[in-house]
Amino acid sequence: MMDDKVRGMLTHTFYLKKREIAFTTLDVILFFALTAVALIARYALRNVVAGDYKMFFEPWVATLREAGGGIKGLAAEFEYVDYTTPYLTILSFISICPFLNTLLLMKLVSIFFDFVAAFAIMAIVYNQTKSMTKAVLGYGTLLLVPTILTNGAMWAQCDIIFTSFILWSLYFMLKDRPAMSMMFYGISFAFKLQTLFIAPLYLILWMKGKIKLKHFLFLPLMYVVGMIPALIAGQSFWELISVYFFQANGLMDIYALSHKFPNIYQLIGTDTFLFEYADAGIWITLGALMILLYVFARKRYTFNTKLMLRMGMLLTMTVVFFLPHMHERYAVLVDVLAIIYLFVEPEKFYIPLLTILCSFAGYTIYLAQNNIVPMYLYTIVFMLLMFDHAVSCMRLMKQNALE
Amino acid sequence: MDKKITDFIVTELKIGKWRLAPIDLLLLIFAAVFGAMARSCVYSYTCMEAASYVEISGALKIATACFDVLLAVVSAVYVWELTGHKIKAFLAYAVVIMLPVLSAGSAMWGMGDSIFVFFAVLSLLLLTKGKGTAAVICYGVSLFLSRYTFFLLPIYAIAFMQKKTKLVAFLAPICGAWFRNGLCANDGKLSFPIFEAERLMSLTRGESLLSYNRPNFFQIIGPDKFVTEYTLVFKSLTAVIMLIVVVLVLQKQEEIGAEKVISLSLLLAMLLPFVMPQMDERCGLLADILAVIFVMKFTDMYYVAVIHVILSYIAYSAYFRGEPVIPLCYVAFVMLFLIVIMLRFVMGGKKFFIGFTKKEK
Repeated sequence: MMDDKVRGMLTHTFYLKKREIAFTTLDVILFFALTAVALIARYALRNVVAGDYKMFFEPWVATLREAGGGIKGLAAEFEYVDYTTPYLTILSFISICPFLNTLLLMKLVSIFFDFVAAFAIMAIVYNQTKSMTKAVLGYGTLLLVPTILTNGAMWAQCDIIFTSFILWSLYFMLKDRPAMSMMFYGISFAFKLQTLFIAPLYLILWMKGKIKLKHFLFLPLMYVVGMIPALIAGQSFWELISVYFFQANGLMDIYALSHKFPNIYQLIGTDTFLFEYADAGIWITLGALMILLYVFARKRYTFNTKLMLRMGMLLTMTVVFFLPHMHERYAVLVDVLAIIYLFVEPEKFYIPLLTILCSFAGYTIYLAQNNIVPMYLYTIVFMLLMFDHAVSCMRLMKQNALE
Repeated sequence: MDKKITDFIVTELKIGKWRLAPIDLLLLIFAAVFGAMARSCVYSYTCMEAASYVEISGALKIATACFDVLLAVVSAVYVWELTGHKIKAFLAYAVVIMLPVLSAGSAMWGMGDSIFVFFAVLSLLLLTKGKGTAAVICYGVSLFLSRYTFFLLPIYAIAFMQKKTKLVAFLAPICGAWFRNGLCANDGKLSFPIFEAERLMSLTRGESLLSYNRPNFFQIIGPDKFVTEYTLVFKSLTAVIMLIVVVLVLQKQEEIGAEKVISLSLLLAMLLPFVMPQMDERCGLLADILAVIFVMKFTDMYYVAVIHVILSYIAYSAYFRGEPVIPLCYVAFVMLFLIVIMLRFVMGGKKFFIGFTKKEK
């Protein structure tokens, strides 16, 4: 009797939003267990100090603090900084925060966005599968994959911030709400230039009638909105707007064609023809994207979620594969898309497994100074995954062909 | 409004006797622009310091880049001929023009390689279109420009046996090879930029090797041992392989059609440099272009082109850097794997699939 009650309680289904969302007690338990493990793992990594923090973040926060912190701090003059106003504003407020130290506060911000991204994955997976168990597993997977776990909690990097906004952008795209989607994409753009890695997908979405040209205005709009705190602090408009131009020049990264990222330069050498290949690499990347966009836009077929996901993965992988000066962390977007893959197309379980393995290879070299497997082997695996994506895109396009 | 724009971009318009969509034209234009920009980034590199090379290298690089465009066009026409598929033809043009090996070949090496490849591909195209005599003459021009076209000789021998060309036309390749050897062997007596560059390049090589960074059999057994002895052995072996290919194809008593011409050409361009001694980094360019054309017809085997181009570029980078990133013996094994796959395909029509999932659910 009692046992049945317990069983019944555990499998009891709850409904929210007029039975739109359904979940069981077990889903709730799973959710809290995964959250607890994710928090414990982050707690364990809290004291790790990476080189980037000592070299860049700590001096930046000190400069912001000297200038008064908060909004005032944004008037600070930096010798070099490649972040835009939104993240500098966060750092500036951290600089005057009376409790905890800078490192922990920075990590806490990233961890907060880990959860924002995890909820986005949960929403996307639920939207696609209508299974709360799968959605919660998606949520947990994102929180526990090594690249996401170490990016913020260990390395104190903030790539998850722009990534989380892109995930919400994709969610709203799946919900057929293009304006909201592009607004989130615009917010993401205001944080990081790497947002553009997935921009070709949005071009395809426009070609397929999913979004309108006017929606692209959210990109400059959100960027300008993001600049407001620094404008209030008295910074020059032109200097703020040129941050990305400076980054696009890649002037800080010119010492290697690939910064421990398994891309094409690991096969042909990362340390020679630094200037020649850096420039030519950009044109080759544009050429490769142009060819893919031509194929995706020229053919007539029904566009669906699977295609959107596959194209998004392939286009983003193409960018990071050919573009010079890619860092270890730059495939974070590919990693999170791969997690969605796991739940939307479970038969392709190897995709997140191998993608994240390749991505994490660079992390281990940077964080642990450990280079056990030659990087070119990861490049080969990454390339095979690209082949697989290309084939599956073409097959699905053929299957959905309209003429 | 958005729909009008997107529809306009992909709607085919009648331009002369062609039906083209604006997106096709955009691809053609942007491929040329991006290709030109990629070349301009590496143009300043000089592979040799010799004053006589530096003097001619600029003109040679520009001429080669022009032939890159012509090669892209002839490749597109070839794909059109093979598939009758307009989109694939445009793609072939864009892919060829953006190929890193071709860009580096013209703008970094500046050795005029795309010129001989252009004539070789044109020759195969003419053969496919049933113009045997013109094809062999073109082949002669190509052979005059580079010895690497020699690998295609079995194709023309088979064409002759199947009455697709005349014996007299073979005077062109004979003259081509004869003139070429005459010009090159006499230490640049006749000043012809391509030969001059080639002559200077061989002078900079230093010691004689069985393979100059080419990922072939000699990278597995060691390129610097028994050079004289192995050279004779493997040159004879290469000749025998060519003969065997001719005999086997003729024995099958099947017409060598358009598909067979391209697949057999690709196999020969991959197989023969694998066993031929003294091959260098650039000898894979012909196979790279043929592979692009081939995979436009046999799309399931797309990886043949991708992998071959990457292997070729690994060889290029071994020269540019002075040492390879990946040991060339491993690269040679990958090349062998590709050759086996092509051999299976040519002999039995069996396609090898690379991918994790075979069928779409």
